[in-house]
Amino acid sequence: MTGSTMAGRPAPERIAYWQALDSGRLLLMAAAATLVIAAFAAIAVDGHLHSAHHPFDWAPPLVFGGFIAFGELLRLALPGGREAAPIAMVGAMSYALLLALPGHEIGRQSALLVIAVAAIGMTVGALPHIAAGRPAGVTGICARIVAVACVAAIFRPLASDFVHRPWELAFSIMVLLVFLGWLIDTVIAALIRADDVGARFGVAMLDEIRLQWPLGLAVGASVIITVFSTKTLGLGVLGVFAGPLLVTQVAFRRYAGIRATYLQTVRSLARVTEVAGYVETGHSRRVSRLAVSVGRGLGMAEPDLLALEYAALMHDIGQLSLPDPIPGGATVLVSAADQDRIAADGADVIREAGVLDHVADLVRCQSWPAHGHDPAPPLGSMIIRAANAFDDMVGGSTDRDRSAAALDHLRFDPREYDGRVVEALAEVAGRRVPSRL
Amino acid sequence: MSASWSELDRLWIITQAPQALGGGHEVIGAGQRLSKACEGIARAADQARHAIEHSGKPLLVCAESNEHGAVVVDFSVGHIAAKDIPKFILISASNVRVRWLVLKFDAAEFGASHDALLLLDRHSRAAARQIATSRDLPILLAYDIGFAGLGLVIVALWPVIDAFAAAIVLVPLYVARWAMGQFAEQQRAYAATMNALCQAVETKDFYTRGHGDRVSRGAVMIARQIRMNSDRTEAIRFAGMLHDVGKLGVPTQVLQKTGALTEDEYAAIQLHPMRGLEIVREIGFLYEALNGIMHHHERIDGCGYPMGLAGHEIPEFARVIAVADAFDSMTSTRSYREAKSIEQAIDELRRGAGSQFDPLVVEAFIAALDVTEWILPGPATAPADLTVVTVQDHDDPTAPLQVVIP
Repeated sequence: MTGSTMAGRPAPERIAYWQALDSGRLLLMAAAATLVIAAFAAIAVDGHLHSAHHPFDWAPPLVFGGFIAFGELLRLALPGGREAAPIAMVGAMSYALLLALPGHEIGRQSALLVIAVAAIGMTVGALPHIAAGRPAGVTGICARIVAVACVAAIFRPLASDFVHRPWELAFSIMVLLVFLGWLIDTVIAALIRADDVGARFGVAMLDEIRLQWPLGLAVGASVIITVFSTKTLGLGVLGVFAGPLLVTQVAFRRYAGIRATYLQTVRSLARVTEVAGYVETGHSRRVSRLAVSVGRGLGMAEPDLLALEYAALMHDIGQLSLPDPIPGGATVLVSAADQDRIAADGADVIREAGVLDHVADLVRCQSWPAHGHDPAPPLGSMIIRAANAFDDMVGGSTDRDRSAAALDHLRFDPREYDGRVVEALAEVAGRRVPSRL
Repeated sequence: MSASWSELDRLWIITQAPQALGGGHEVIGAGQRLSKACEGIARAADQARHAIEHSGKPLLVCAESNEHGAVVVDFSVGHIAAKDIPKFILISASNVRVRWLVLKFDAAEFGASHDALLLLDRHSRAAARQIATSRDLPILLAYDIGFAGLGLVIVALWPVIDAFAAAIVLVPLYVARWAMGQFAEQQRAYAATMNALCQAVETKDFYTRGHGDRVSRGAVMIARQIRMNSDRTEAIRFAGMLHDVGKLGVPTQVLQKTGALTEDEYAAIQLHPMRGLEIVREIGFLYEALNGIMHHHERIDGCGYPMGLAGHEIPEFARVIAVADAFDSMTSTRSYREAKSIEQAIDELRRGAGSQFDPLVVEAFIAALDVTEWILPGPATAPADLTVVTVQDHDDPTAPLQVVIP
């Protein structure tokens, strides 16, 4: 074995593309495909784009299409496995909201042309991703096309009317439409996500809004800058106006990068208890997955879920202070006093970091019974307590009888384990299909 | 385009950015074209001082560079101390490349919490980075297109949508600023969490507390000395911190054993770099950091473990960590000996150069020790009730592990 093979990363589990399709995604893709086909068909049939008197005006579609493709190439990974393409969105939305172009007839940039250009640009921009073996991101592209199509359909027919009116009017309409485009994109993202991870739509929508608004604001502002500056300066300056957005994108990329590394680090370092023989292999990861699914089922929002995930990963870290490992590492089998000490020691370790006090609290309270303790433990701690007990009894096994017996054990003790949490856990354990995320 | 470059030369905008975003009513001095003749800098600074006195909000300065490519933002004219400027954004709108950024203040000292976003082209990167590291500022560097574009965009949009131009151009920048703030916050949280977890791992053994942290500092000193780039330096910092995490997988009785080790026990110790790798391999580190952790006990003569690599087969990260690791072990107290002095430890490193250590790395470390002070671990006296004490130190080159030869 060589160093390079040892240090090589395990290939991530990838689900075949067709397996990841579900009704929501199919509906979205069908909608986007219908729009694109309609656009191409209309352009092919309708001769107004190209006639003997008016040769086809190639410049705007080419420049905007190139810009969109460039933006699609520079896609951005956001926390939580999301992807955004802010520059592509700016290109497509600016084209949809184009007011005037010196030297070009604006009336000929129809909504259907905008849809066709956006679709071609995004597809071309996605090709290098596919060539590099990354996911094509079809869902994201479809969501963007639908959002752009709505905005273009509203604004394109009106565009020429705004040229001679006060700029404030066009400005306000644009702000509204940019917001509408953002909202459509976000609602679609939330619908898909709620479906993917089994979250409630309301919670997923709030999570999306919380995560997407800063970028949406930057995109919206850039669209308006682009539209108004191309009005006087022409197409040539389009690249320059991507500057502020590129800066934003660099900042976001770094932010998302460090968040991902942070999570990976906690996930990995939480395994020290396994390597040291304190707990069974895979225990912390299984507990964290269970806990997050249960938390999601109970309607927890993403920041709380992240804290819950950290706490669940590190819930056994207090065992490091024990001189000898508990047999099998199963904290469910040791005395309440020992459980409490492990929880307190673990919380102390985490509190040491100074930035994860909320996580430390969850770890601290995991040893408290769900009911009858004063003060009452937070929901996250009750979830960790139940998930930990369940995994201590079931382990990595997928035997349904075993999980049923473990669940009965948890239900038998309503003082120790919260009823709502146990029912959510039962549902998650019943599902037990690997999450796509 | 209604604004030409010549007009641009005289354009100064000093604005209270957040208020400008709030509706454009309180844009201070925005769009006022102050000619150079009327002490543009002094006027600008004066306005800045007013702005700052009235609120502690971020300050945006759009300035052009002079014919030498320098942007001089002279706050001393307005008697503004650095500590009075909580946040500061500089945009250069000029057809001359910005090569230097000069910030002049009345008080020579910057405030420690000073916070800046500098948008400069690549020529200024080194200078800006120096400012940023010496003042502990977060920094975001953009290429020509970013900074030159901004000034141009504001000027170009002015005739079309008025003062909204400045506000709207700032939105993406402010979002970038926000994201950078989040990034810095996450980075701090990340480092703190990493530290806490490493400490938790080290509490298992009284004598090695702080070892990871010190090795990490030593590795970074060497990395700077041999001029590794900043990404690699950052990676080696974490690799140093985590290099011994696999020791947790070695049974405590082996670590505590007083007599000679059996072959099996020695094998368990030799496996610890692999165990460490197992724990950290899924972290999105540079690939090199993983190699550094895995091979930090290889020797230049090929007699090390786990794989017996020799010479330059050993990854650079591992050669660096090996030196810092041995040095810290020698200068720390162990249950079987007192700590060695820095000079004695340096002598030992020199003795091992060429057989155990890479001579270039050893020399780089010794040179770095001249510049940066090595913080020795505090005097370690194990408390009486201590149960876990390492009796043999696998890192100590002066006291090799005793193995029973069958």
